[in-house]
Amino acid sequence: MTNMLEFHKVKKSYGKRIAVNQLDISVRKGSCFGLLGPNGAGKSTMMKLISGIIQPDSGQIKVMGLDMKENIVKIQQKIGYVPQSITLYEELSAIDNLRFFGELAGVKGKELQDRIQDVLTKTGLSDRGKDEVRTYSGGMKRRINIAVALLHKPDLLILDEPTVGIDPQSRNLIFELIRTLHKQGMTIIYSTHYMEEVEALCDEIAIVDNGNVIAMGELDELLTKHTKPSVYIESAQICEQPKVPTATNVIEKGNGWVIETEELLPTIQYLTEIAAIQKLDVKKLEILHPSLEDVFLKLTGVSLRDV
Amino acid sequence: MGTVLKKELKIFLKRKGNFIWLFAMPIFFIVVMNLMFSNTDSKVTVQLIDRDQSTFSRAFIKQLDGIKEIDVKLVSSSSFDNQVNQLKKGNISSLVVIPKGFEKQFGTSASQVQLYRDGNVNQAAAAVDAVLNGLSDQYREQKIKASLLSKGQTESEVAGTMKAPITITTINETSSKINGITQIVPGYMIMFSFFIIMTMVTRFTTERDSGMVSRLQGTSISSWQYLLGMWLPNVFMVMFQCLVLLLFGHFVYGLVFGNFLLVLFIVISLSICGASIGIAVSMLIRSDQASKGITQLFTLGGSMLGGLWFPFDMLPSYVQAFGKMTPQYWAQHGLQEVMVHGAKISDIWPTFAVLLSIGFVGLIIAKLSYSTFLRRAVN
Repeated sequence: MTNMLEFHKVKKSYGKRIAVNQLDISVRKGSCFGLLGPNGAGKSTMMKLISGIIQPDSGQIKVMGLDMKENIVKIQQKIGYVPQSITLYEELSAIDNLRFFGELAGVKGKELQDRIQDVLTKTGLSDRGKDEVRTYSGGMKRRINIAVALLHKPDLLILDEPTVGIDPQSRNLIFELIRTLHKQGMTIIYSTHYMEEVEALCDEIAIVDNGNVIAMGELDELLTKHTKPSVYIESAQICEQPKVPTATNVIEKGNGWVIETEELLPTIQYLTEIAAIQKLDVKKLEILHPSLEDVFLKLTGVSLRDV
Repeated sequence: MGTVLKKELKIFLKRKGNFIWLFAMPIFFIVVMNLMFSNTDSKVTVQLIDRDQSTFSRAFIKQLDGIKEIDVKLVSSSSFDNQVNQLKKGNISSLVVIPKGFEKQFGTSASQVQLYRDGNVNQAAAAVDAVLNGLSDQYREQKIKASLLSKGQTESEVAGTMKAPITITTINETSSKINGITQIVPGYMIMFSFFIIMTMVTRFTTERDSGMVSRLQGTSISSWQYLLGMWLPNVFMVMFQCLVLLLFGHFVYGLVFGNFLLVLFIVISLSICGASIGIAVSMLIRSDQASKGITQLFTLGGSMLGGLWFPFDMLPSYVQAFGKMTPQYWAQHGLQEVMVHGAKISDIWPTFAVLLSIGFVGLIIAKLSYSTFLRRAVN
């Protein structure tokens, strides 16, 4: 399968601080690729490198098989970049903003008019197009921020934390839009520090920390590789760490115990039998589904929410 | 470039605050300054105490009061101490005292008139001094004339003797066009045109800090397209500002342009110069706050040194030397030469050379500093 994006040993520093360190990434054409990591992990630097806003200190970036250094103009015409900050002219209407960016992308005349209407409809703002952007809510501004990047029908859409500080309605609209674009075959690179977002949207994920990709792959692949299934049991009568033969690790969590195991069903069976024999009052007995949060915790030793 | 230009013009017109600097402030200054300087009463008021109260002293006072530049204000003898106190406090500039025996002394010895003057107010006191000396000379001439006639000389012989060996003929070549408004309108127009620097720095720092420059970097726009697209609307706005102010001066105060085409060329050169300084400062400066200091130093300092507030010739020679290093001086000089003396393009080519050279250098500095500006924007 053809790769839309390739990073080969890409390095970028700001003074002494290394933002991206010898990075190797490849993104398949047509995939929705999630970059998950805490603030300051280097996600935005990666996004700027992909969109050609900044140049790497070393290494090679290829987009659609083209070397970024030699084909920057050609590549930028194929990329739609949505920055983390809302970069719109507040004094101008949404239509004026779209016209400005559309013309910069080389779209003109009737075609531009049609595309402006199209992206306004897609972002649910066709009735507010003539209003000045400063009158918009944060969520509406975010949607127009995305609409700007869609005007020239890019092959690769780069979204840098597009849902920061917005209302649930706008978030759902943005998610719907991304799913639709993905279904239509557009390659999407989505950066966020919300694991729920990459879990909901992305078919391929890279976990980033301190300028390094610490894990990369499909969601199931990451979960299988870096986490173990576990069972949670909660009973006031279990005061000491339970001894479960099939357990690989037992951790105290809240008022109960998390039992990590390679054999899920035998473990549940064992716990049920013990509870019956010892007449334990079991308040909770459930299978815990591992999440990306667990992957991040496992790999960095820190919870993503704590960073 | 056209896309950036159109967008920038729209934003400029949407920001109402720009119009205060463009039109409201300069028009306010022009009106106030014109009110202050065009209708001034040039008469010097002289306080006068007549202690002689004679026919001769009254004739002297009448003669003094008849002089166009002098306004005699008679005060009582008893207020002498009070008047001297007022003089010391600086409330009046001169006091003339005609002493007792003024008429009596006229025939025998020299009649004395005392002038008390405030040494700190040279201009007004010197005028009174000169007027009194002139009167004294007239009396001396009359005395000599009477003496010669009494010694048997005829009227014509006396007239020949009294004729001054040197006569000075004043030929007034001053153009009828010159007036305060040729100083005030171009002066304040030039001064306020440089406030575009502040407007431009605010725009560029907003673009930089909001992430817009970074986003634009993700498009295929070139540095020249961006810089010229941002620069040109400001050139147009300064041109428009200057033309509005000139037309205001013309229709309200009768400002005469002379060769309007040359005035227009100077306005274009001035606009290029101001906007280029603005773009260069915008690329170099880190914060909007710092730009305000620089703009004020440049606009106010340059206006003072460049002769925008006072006629350049009135400035001390060392200030004039510095003034000639400012674009403000060259713009004002060029405009006044065209408006007042009907200068041709060959007379004012240095004005174009200076303004356009500064404009060119400003653009080059902006282009060379663009990478630094961009680094601040994208990192």
